Amino acid sequence: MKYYFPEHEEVVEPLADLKVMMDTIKLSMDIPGVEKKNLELKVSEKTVIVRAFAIIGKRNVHYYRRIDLPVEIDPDTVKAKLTAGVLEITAKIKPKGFREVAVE
Amino acid sequence: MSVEIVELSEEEGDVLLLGFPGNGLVGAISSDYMVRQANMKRAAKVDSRNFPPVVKLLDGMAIEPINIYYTKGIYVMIDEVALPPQSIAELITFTLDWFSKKKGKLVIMVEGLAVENRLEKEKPSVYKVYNNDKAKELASSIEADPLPSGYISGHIAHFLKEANYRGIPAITVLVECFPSYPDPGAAAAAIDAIKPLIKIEIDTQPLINESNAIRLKMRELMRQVQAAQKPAGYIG
Repeated sequence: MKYYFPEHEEVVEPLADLKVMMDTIKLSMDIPGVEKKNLELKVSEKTVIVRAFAIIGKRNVHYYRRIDLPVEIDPDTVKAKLTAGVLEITAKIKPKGFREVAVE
Repeated sequence: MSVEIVELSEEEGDVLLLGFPGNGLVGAISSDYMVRQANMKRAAKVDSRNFPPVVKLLDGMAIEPINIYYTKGIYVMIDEVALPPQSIAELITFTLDWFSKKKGKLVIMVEGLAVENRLEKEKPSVYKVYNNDKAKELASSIEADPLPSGYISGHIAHFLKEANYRGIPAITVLVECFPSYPDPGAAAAAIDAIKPLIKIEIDTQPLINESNAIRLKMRELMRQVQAAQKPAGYIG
């Protein structure tokens, strides 16, 4: 999808919720009105970028949110699902070679 | 340290509905929608020097962001500003004092109950909590399960206790909602649940239809709420 923001139209920063668990992250984003065909998702090890477009009433809504993750993820494990305007993204956290420490 | 309630009309009601911007903004969305749908009139304005410096603009006129509206014996309080927990408690205390002097018969609070699997439910579950036997009897007309044993913290607990001190039956209706996003669907379910208690005709279908626009409009208030307060919670 080719994506652009017309200069005269407002860009909305959607609400997002990030949960970091033991070995996965779960990121969700509220992008009401968005259909899959108008959604662009890019990920790297440290960053998630979402661009999307929706028409709500008579209003053209452009969403953009870049989230810098607090942990490194494996981009090959990313899964994404869009349900009723809520985007849910899961990914595995890159193993960091933790060592178990014996407690005296 | 006081909250001032200035009455703007002489109407007298005996049921009060409180809608605070908590989980999923369920209370704020449902009360705002009811006021619009039932064409309620502004009956009182509420303010305190301890509240954040926020005003609401109506055609250039700055008014208080917390107001009480009235129709057919029902008061509805709308709070359009995110208050810290201490201020919400203060607001509840003073509002119940005001309602007690009016010999109010029932006070209802609508709230969201944050659940992780909200997306899987087209119709969120609705629960009820009451503070005395009279409230339990009144709540029997609501199609909702009582919350099972556990604890409720925050402003909901404060509300139930303060109403009990004043002998006012109080019911809290909790609807499952998104933990971090405005949830008009949950607000519609809350309104449908309390209809037998308020006895005014409210069609919730338009609220469902304008759900996307409301989610978009309310996101800034949701951000402020997340920054200002830890929403009230239930531990089962």
